[in-house]
This record gives sequence, C-alpha cells and structure tokens, in this order.
Amino acid sequence: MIIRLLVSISRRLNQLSGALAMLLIAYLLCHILLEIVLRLFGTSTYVLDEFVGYAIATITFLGLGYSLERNGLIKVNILSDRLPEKYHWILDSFISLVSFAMFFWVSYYWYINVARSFKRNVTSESIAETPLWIPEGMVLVGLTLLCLTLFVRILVLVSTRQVPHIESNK
Amino acid sequence: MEILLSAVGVITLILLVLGLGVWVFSGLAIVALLSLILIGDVSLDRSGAILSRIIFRSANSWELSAIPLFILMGELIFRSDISDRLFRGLEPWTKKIPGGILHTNVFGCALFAAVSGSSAATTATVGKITTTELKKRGYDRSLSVGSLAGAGSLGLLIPPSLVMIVYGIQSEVSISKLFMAGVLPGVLIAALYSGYIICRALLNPSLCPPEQSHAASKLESLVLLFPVISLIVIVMGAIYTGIATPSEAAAVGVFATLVILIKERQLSFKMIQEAMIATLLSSTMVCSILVSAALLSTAMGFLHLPSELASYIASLDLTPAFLLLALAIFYVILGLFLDGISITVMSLPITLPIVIQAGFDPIWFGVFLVILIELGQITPPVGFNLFVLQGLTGEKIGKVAKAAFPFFLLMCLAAFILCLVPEIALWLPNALSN
Amino acid sequence: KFDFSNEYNATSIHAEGDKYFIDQVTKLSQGDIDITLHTGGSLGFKSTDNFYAVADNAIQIADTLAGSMAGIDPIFLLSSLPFIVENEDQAEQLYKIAKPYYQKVFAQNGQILLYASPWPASGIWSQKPVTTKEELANLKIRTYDKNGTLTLREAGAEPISLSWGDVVPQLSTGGIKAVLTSADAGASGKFWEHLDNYSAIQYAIPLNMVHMNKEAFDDLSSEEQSAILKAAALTDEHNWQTVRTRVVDNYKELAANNVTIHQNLSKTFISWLQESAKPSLKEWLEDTGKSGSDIMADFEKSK
Ligand code: NA
Ligand code: NA
Repeated sequence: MIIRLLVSISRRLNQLSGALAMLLIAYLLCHILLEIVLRLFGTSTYVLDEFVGYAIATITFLGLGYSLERNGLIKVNILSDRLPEKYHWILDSFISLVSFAMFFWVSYYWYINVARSFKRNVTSESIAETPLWIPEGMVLVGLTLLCLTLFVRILVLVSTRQVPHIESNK
Repeated sequence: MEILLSAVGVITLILLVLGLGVWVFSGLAIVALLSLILIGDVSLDRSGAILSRIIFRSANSWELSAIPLFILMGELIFRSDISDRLFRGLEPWTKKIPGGILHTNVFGCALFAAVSGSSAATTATVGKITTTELKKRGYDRSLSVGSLAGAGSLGLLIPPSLVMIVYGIQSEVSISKLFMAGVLPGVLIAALYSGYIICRALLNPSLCPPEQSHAASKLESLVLLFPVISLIVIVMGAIYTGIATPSEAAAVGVFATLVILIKERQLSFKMIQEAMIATLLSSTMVCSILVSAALLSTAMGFLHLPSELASYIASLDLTPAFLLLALAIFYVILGLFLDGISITVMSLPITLPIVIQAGFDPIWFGVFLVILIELGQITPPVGFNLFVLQGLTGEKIGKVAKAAFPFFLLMCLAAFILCLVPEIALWLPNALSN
Repeated sequence: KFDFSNEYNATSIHAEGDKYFIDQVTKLSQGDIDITLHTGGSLGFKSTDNFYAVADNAIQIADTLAGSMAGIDPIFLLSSLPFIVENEDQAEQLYKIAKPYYQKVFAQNGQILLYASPWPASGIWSQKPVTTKEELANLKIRTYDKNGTLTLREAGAEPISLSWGDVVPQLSTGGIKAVLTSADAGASGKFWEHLDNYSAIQYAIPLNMVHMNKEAFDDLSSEEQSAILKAAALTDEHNWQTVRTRVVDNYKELAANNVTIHQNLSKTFISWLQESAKPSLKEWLEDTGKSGSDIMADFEKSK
C-alpha cells in the first residue's frame, strides 16, 4: 500500500519536474533568440551565458528522475543479457541500490554547499547578482528526486520481484 | 610503472561497473569516486567536496546549451515531412552512386559539423533524421550506424569546434587558423568514409537496396530539398555573418525550423509536445553522461594520470616519428575512457613543448590531436557517439562499437595521411593569411 | 602532497607566477612539500568555484580572479574597479593597503592569502582607433565583468558579454568590433589577425589571488610553514615585477605585428571614461561601507 503511494508520488513529482525542464528548454530558446535580436539593436540582456548555464544544469538534473522512469537512460547490458530473466530483478535492485547510495552521498555534500550559499547569501558576480542557492538548489532538487526515484524503484523491485515495465512517453 | 598500474586499475573499474549494467551516467560517477578513494587515496569527505562541486560546475555550462536545442531541431524535423522529402529529394542525385542515400550520413554530418561545435550534437541531430529513414528503406543497419558514428565526430574537426577553441586558448595559437586547418582534413575523412561505403556497396549490393523507380526528377528534387537547403542557408548565414555565435546557432536552427513548419502548416500542439518529451529524454541522457564523464576526468586529474603518462613519453627522448606514434597511442588509450577536452587540457602543458621542440607546427598538431580525440568518441567503453547512437537506435553498445570499427580504422588512416602530408592541414590557413 | 588549480594556460602570467612559487617552495623546503600545478582548469574548477573548493579542502591551493569572488564579499571587487589606479605602482600600493581586508575574509573561511598575481592593465583592442568619445560611441565591445559593462554602456559604447571561447570566432565574423582586455591576453589570442589598434586606457589592473586551505597549512611542520610563507612573499614581489616587464614585452610584440598602440590619450577622453565609471565606484562604496571608504581614503593619502 505504502509502496503504491510512494510510486504515485514519485511519478507525479517526476512529471512535474519533467514539465518544468521542458519549459526551461523553451526558455533557453527564447533567451538566446532575444539576445540575438537585442544585439542587433546594440543592447543586451547581459546575463545570457550565466542564465543559460543555470537553465541547462537544471534541465539535466530535473530530467534525470523523469528519464529514469521512462527508461531513457542508457546502460550496458552485457551481464543482464546472459542472466536468466527471473534473476533480472536482483541485478536491477543491486545497481539501483549502488546508484542510490552514490547520489544520496553526493547530494548530502551538495546540500551542505547549497545551505551555505543560502545562509551567507552568496551571489554571482554578474549584473544580475543571482543568489547562487537558487540554481544550486535546483540541481539539489533534481538529485533528490533522482534519489527518491531510485529508492522507489528498489522497493518496487524487491516487492514485486520483477523489473518495472517501461513507462510509455507520458 | 605505478602510473600504468593506476591506468589499468581505472579501466578495470570502468569495465566492471559499466559491465554490471549500471546506468552509464551513474556508473562513471561511481568509477570516479572509487578511483579517488581506492587509487588516489583521497578521503571520503574530500571526495564529496570535489565531486559535488564538479557536478554543478560541469552541468552549469553555456556550451552545453547547444545540445538540447540541436536535439529539438532534429526531433522537429524528424516529426515533420522535411526528413522524408530530404531523402526523396536526394534520390535522383545519389541514384548512380553505389551506396545511394547512405552517403547522407557522411555528407549530412560534414555539413552539420559546419554549424555545430560538438560531436554529440552532430551525431544526435543527423542521426535522428537519418537512422529511421535508412532503416525503413532497408539499408544495412551496421553500415548506417557505423558511418553515423564515424561522421558524427567530424563535428569536432570541421569548424566551429569546441575542442579547437580549447586547444587554441591553451596553446596560444590562432583559433581562426586552427579552424581553417580543420576544413580539408575534415573533407578528407568524409571522402574516405564515402569511398568505403562505395566499396562495400560494390562488393555486396544487398547492403543498399535499389531505390524506388518513381524517383523524382532533378528539378522536382530541388523543390523537395528546399526546406533543408533554406535551413542550412539560414543557420550558416547567421554564424558566418556574425549575427549569432556558434554556440547560439542551435537556437537559430530551431527558430528557422519552426518558421518553416508554420509556413508549411505542419506544426501542431501534439507534435511540439512529443518533440519536447523526446528532446528532454535525449538531452538528459547526453548531458548527464557528459557531466559524469567530467567527474571521471576530474578524478583522473587528481590521480595525475594523464600528466604523468605524458611526462613519461616526454622522458623517452624519441625521434619525431616515434614521438608522434607514442602520442597517438597515448591519446587513443586515454580516449578509451576520457573525454577529449579534458585530455587536451590535462596533457598539453607537457606534450605541446616536446611536440614543438621536435619541429612540428602547433596548428598542424592541433588538427592531429583533434583527429585522435575524434577516435575516442567511437571507442568503447566510454565513447560519446556510441552512447548517443545506442540511445537513438536502441542497438546494443557492442553492436554499435563493432559497426563503428571500420570507420575507426579509416580515421586512423586519415591521421597517418596527415602525418605524411602535413599540407592537408596547413595549406588553407597559409594560403588565406597571405 | 597538494593540488594547486588555476584556469589559465601554462604560459600565462598567472601560471608562470604559480610555477615560480612552487619552485621557491621546493627549494626552501628541500623538496619536502610536493605541490602539483593543474593549469587550464584541468581539474574542472573555474575561478568562481575556487573559493569554496579551497575552503572545503577539495583543492589545497588555487589561483583565483579576485572579481569572481565579489559575490562572496564585495571587497574582492576593489582591484577590478575601473580607473582607480593609473599604473602598476599605484596598483601595488592599493593592494598593500587592502591586503589586511582580503586576509580577513580568507581567514573567516578557513584559508590564508598567499600572494597576488596582477594582470597587465586592460585596454581596448579594436579594428579602428578608439581615442575619443565619438570613436567609442556605439562600439560593439566585449567586456569581461559587470563593471566593464556598466562603465562602457555609460560611456556610450555597446558592451557585449561573451564567453572567452566565443571571442575570436565573433571577431572573425565581425559580430564584435572590439575587446576590453589586456595587451597580454590579446597577444595570446593573436588578436592582430582581426584587430589593428590597442588603446592603453589603463582601465584597471585586476588581481588574481592565490589562497590556501588553512588546515592543510596547519598540518605542516613549522619549518614547512615558513617555507611556504617565505616563498609566497618572494612570489608576491616577483609577480609585481613581472607584470611591469610583461607589459613592455607585450607592446613590442604588438608593434611587431603591426598593431598601433595608442598611449598618452587625451585628457578629455580619459576623464570622460572616468566619469562613466563613477556609478560603479559609488555602488562599490555603498556595498562595502566603512572598509571600502577607509581603503579609498588611505589610498588617496598614499598617492
Ligand atoms: Na564543427
Ligand atoms: Na572512447
């Protein structure tokens, strides 16, 4: 029961972050085009490379959980191709667990940094003086969501003893 | 040779972790961590401080922005009838050439390389447009995937090129001249690839099925090719008139595609939605692997691995010819598991002085180096073009790598020819600057 | 065993200074301290990452553009403020006055300031001569920081921010007509292939700072610590000398490549530029409060 709840929570959250990431791709496009036009008129937004950098970092990490649920992240299936189907869930649980540990651990260190940026109000040195905890925090959100997705995946694997079916696109 | 042991250790870790079936992006991150701790003797705390910061740094990069936008452009073209018209339009022109429209992979990548600075974007965009069509038309899968892997890496050699910019800044040679120096070697490699496709098609005609008989006339074909030609003109025009920087070309490309699709009334909400989802999935896949490859590079930097291997070569006191051979082997080995830009910055402070001392032109060496780096894009276990194509075609990585192998050899041949005839690289910059 | 990161190429003035420092340390410690320099940002860290990377002991030593730490403490913007110093003597003076303030910020974050690595003065590289207000008007010029953008916009130019990698491609297509940077940086980018003029407006002499993790420093024996400090003091002196000779060499190189160097620019042009820089200075004084105005007062007195 709890697992099913967690599954639907993680799916919802990933849909939300996926939608946000897609909006950011549209934003990337618009900001670059705006900059090109402004430049023709001798002015600029002055923050193009800075904001585009934040956006692309955010897109990458917000998209991770989303892509994982949709089987969009590639792996090398040398071992699993040789392993009987019925053991796949064990292998998958193991690699999910290892990945979860890796990113949970990295997220913890990144959290320390984001918290410091927030507390000390560290900003970028550009005209925008962007509070850095915002873009740094977005990457942290993406990492956290990835951890949640991996955690839920492990629960599903262990409880159903089979590899979850691939989500169709949307 | 402690450093050789470390190198072997790292490659073993990669084979082990990726072989287990861990997602590539997390696998490379895990290898980075394990290398730091097991081989570099770095504490867990310090590793956390290093890797978490590099994750943000490498993702937060202006140059990466071209990847989702070029992929979006490819997805939009793929979902419209522009790609179908492209192939029908090319038929009358390629009918007589053995290999037929398979040459679009090579020609398309070479052309696309002239607007894109990275090989991942080139492979992903051109591949999105061609792989499905070529499969539908019954072309040999291995030849079409392999040629795409090989030609996609031309994105680095034909200007603009991110690697050349990095090389130019690091070695203080003229970026403009480097760009010019890359053109002819790029054409040479494309010609070798096309020649290979022709040979294969002649030897075994079943690889390339005969085209439909109702092919369009050459005049009709121009109408069919019009959207693609106008896209190329707009994007190249924007770059070469200075309206947009090479990094901004992708946005211009998406914009031009949207305009054409609106004009042709092909754009629908559903199509945009599907294209966006596919773009997010592909660019997350590509960018996340690039980020974790950066983690691995950083870890190698802390192990001093590339720099010590380069110092070892420098200490050998080789004759110029053997020096080149040693460097080629060095870069190909590092290219097995590291990305090109990292290899360049880590090794150049050591390799460039010995190369110049041996009497080689730094511009020529830049081109040579870029070709060696391109080789790394199509070698397992870590080859970005292979990953992109695996994601694109759903084929297994081993199969993609095998398909790419002949093109790997052809690129080695190109590097060899460039050593014998350095003018291939140097003629154009010298001719234009006088 | 220490890792030392900078993001400049191996022959840059900063990397040269850093190698000098390492040589001195090796000599003074009889080879007991092993420092590896990673140039070109090859460890993956950029200047903006260095401050906290060193604080967290990810790297032990870093060579960091002071302006890039302005978001951490506005005091670091001092050396890149436009038209405060006229020459290397004044820049060195200003650095000495401000040093205790810099040291304090580093100390609060578990670091020590080892030495400064000044940039050669920045000027304007351009296709056509830029020696008057009119010639500057509507000039599409690439700037490297916020103050440059604000000042040049105020002065009537059209500043553009671009990543350094895009600069040469944009110069070759004419997307930009000028670049605000030092003769040195322009020379390393072979700007003479596209630009024929260099106006020595002495815009600023920005500093890079080399800082070290305090814990790593404390873990050393007292002899080793004094070797580091001694080497740092020597390098500081060395760098301030080098920057002067570097400018002379750069000018020779520019002349050899047919770049016209415009020195002794008219008073009216310079004071117009200085006027345009006033808002930047005012904002900085507001941001830094008492310490900023104290430094400026001391600096005025010393002139
Ligand atoms: Na290219
Ligand atoms: Na490779």
